[in-house]
Amino acid sequence: MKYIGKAMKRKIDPRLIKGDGRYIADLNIPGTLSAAFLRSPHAHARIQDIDLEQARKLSGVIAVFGPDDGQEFDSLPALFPHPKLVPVTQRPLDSVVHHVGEPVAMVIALNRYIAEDAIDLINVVYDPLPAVAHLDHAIQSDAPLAHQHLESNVAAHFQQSVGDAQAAMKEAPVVVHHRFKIGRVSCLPIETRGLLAKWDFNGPEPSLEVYAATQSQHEMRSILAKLLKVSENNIRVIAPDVGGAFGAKAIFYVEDFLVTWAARKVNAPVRWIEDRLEHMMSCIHEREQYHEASLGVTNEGKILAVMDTMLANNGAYVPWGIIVPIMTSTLIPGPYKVPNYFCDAKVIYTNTVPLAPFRGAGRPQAALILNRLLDQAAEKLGMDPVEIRRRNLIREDEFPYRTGLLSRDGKPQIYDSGNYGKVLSEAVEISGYSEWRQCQQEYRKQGRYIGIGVASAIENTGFGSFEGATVRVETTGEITVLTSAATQGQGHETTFAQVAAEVFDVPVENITVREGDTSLITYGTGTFASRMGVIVGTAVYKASQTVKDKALKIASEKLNIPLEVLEMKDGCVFSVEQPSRRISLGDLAHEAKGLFPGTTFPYSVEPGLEVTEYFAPEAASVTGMTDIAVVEIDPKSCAIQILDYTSVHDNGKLLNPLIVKGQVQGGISNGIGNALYEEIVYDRQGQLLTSTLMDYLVPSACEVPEMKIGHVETPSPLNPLGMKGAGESGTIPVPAVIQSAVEDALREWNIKVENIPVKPAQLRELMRQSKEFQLVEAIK
Amino acid sequence: MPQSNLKNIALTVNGKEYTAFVEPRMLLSDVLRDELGLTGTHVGCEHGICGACTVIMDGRPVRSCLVYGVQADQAEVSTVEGLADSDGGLHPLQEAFWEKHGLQCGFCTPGMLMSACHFLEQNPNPNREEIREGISGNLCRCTGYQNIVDAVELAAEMISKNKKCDDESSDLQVVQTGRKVNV
Repeated sequence: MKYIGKAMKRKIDPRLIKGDGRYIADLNIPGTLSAAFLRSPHAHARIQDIDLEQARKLSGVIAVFGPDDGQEFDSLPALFPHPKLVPVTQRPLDSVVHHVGEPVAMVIALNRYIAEDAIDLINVVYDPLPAVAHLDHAIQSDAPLAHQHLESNVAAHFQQSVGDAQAAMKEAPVVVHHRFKIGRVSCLPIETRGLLAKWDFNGPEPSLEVYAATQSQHEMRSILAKLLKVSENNIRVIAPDVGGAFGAKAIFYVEDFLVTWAARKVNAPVRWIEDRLEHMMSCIHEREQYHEASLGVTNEGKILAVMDTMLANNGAYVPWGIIVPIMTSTLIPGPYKVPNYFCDAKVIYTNTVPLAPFRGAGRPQAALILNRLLDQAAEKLGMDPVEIRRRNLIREDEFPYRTGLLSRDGKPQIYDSGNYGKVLSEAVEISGYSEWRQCQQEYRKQGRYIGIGVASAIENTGFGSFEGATVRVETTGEITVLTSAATQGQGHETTFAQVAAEVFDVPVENITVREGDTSLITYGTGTFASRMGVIVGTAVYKASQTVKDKALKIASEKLNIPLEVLEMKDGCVFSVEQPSRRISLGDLAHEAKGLFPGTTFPYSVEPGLEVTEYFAPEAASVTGMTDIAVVEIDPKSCAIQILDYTSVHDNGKLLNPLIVKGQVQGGISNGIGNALYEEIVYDRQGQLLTSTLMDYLVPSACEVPEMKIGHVETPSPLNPLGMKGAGESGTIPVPAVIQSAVEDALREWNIKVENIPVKPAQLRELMRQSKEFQLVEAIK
Repeated sequence: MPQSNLKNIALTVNGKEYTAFVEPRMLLSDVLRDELGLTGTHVGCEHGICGACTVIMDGRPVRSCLVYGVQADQAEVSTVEGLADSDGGLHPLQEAFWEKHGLQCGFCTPGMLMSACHFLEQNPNPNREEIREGISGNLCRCTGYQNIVDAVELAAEMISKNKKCDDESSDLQVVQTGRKVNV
């Protein structure tokens, strides 16, 4: 292939590196007002009284809205319903607040300084209600209720099962257990949320234009239409440049509704830019789960059964169903053959920020569980951790592989393709695993504590239902590609151009890709679940093929040359037999528009060198990955240093290796934060203790190690180019591999590392307890 | 805010002189973006951690979200808009970020470029560890930093070669791709 698979530099970069990006905060629309929100300081409270008058009187304030206005609002729609879920969605400006940071009032003012001044002038009398924040507290029978109208804090209770895990576990000669306490993290894009809403009342019907930092412009349009009671036809949502998202911007939030509603009310454009404090206390979190898991294996290390009990914190509302715990519960077996599996999952309401998919979306938790159990089993059997994995990985010749579980779409979970053994072998090779094992022993003699962790995982990528693309040849010969995608840095403008360039055999420079705008294409879903490359990429491929076929037909009829001897190259269609008989793509586009008004269209195809195609994959394409990490721990301070990091991925056929590698590296850095540094902490009453970046530690260039990245390419049979997703896989094995390496380094202390993030203070405590225990044992 | 509380400030940004009439509490980042229309400087955390708003003020990198506009009165400020030549020729760091895929969403990039630019002035031949230390005040959530380190390394090489060819008046090709760091 000429363009697909090439490491091409990105088309978007010159604009962004010159500071010419156009993010929401940069838009310059005259007369735009600023919105600011007063947010609840209580985790659970009823608003007894609120005085907005002082705020309204401040010069420069246009309007102030509060719970009285909220009475007319609908709750946000329940997305991804599930039969086992009791859904509670957020109601904008409700008179009861259910987490710290929930909006209580909104000010619209000439600028943000005045809007924030006005916020300070609002007086609220709260009637605090008992609140619950921690999982272990929320499940107690006498715990406060996160929502007073519910009977318990259980939002959903469901099971996953294959075979008879309980019976198989009883029979297993070797059984190991491990507990996991996984902390909560923030997606934390460097650009916070924000949107600008502008109404036009001069047309036949009021129409709305929204510029939003969103991953999902079409979803936002459809929810806004519903809540504002306006036809989708009269709403356009545009996602201009978006400064990272990672899940944070896939959600529809109450602020998205309130800003558009207020703009209609005050009849002026209104913009809201979230500040970082607001981001920490109102933008979705993820990861928080507790697990108690067991693994039964044969004496040869073959998996017989896996059992898991999961508690997942849901936060106060359900913005995106219970996708995350479902994902975890269906992916604990991951790349391994698990003949008997049982998972019991409870999803729990608490008075905290809602949890919804962050890059990885429940999969890093899943990868942690079985990989760490395999570590315990290998230890017990005296087997190398790599070897026990190799013995249990699904083999290359076993695909398509049925796990026996149902996927999140309710269909049987089938892994389309993969070569997990090769991925593992490559990782072992690239990392210098055997050499590190030797080093480990040498270092131990010198009093240095080195640990090596291994983790294999999978990601089900490219979920449906569909995405689309319109491909058009312009009369200049340039090619325009309009897609339903939205980008937050993934480089779609380059990769999709590569796909079209391949089909038409024209340089990437001649192709313009547009996305992030509902006016470009009627339908779309959004950028999440590592699905854009696979689904939009295939739609672009299919539409390009159809346009090409159409162009060849017009050329055949125009030049009177049989189709079979025509070829398309370098922007022209020509006869293979007589290359001088040719017509350019631009001229063909002109032909396809017909001649003059009143003339009969001369070709046997439909007018217009333009085609729209949608692609709906029949199932997710499954990627595989293995990470190997080497860490060193200072036994005095317990500081953890990563000495070596290797990650090998099978993301199917790569469209652009430069971009995929960047995605993997970025994912790993999110994983490093997750595994070692980042944690959103609430106290027992639901007060947020980590509301700034001084408390919430985002890794800098000094914390993220140099990464060795390898690729294995197993094409997916589910799409014509063999693609698999690549956006999230980097994050997935990292917590597992780090926890594994840390425990390995401290083998001498015989401790079990159960927490994520792994923090030096916990290790010190574990080591202290272990020493005391050993001492007591010695005295006995 | 009563008119009498507004202050006149004069500052030079990217070699061009500006005046503005601003509230004393207005942040330099807001002055640059809202008063002067220079939206290349981004605001990511407003409490001085993420580094997205980094600009060079009187030769030192500052968080423009932690500096008041009135503190920049009479100051010389450089922002990302001033990195490229007036005819659009990219700065070696910009070239290198493009070449090495040192950006994804691009939101942290202007601040990262300004920090790196100042860093390379202080340390023209850094090793990778020094580069990591040098950009550690700028958070990037997309790249995992490795490509940024690669880019700064490449830029250092381009700049040093450029200097060398300035001395020897040869190797025009490098001169074309590189522009002398001047902030």
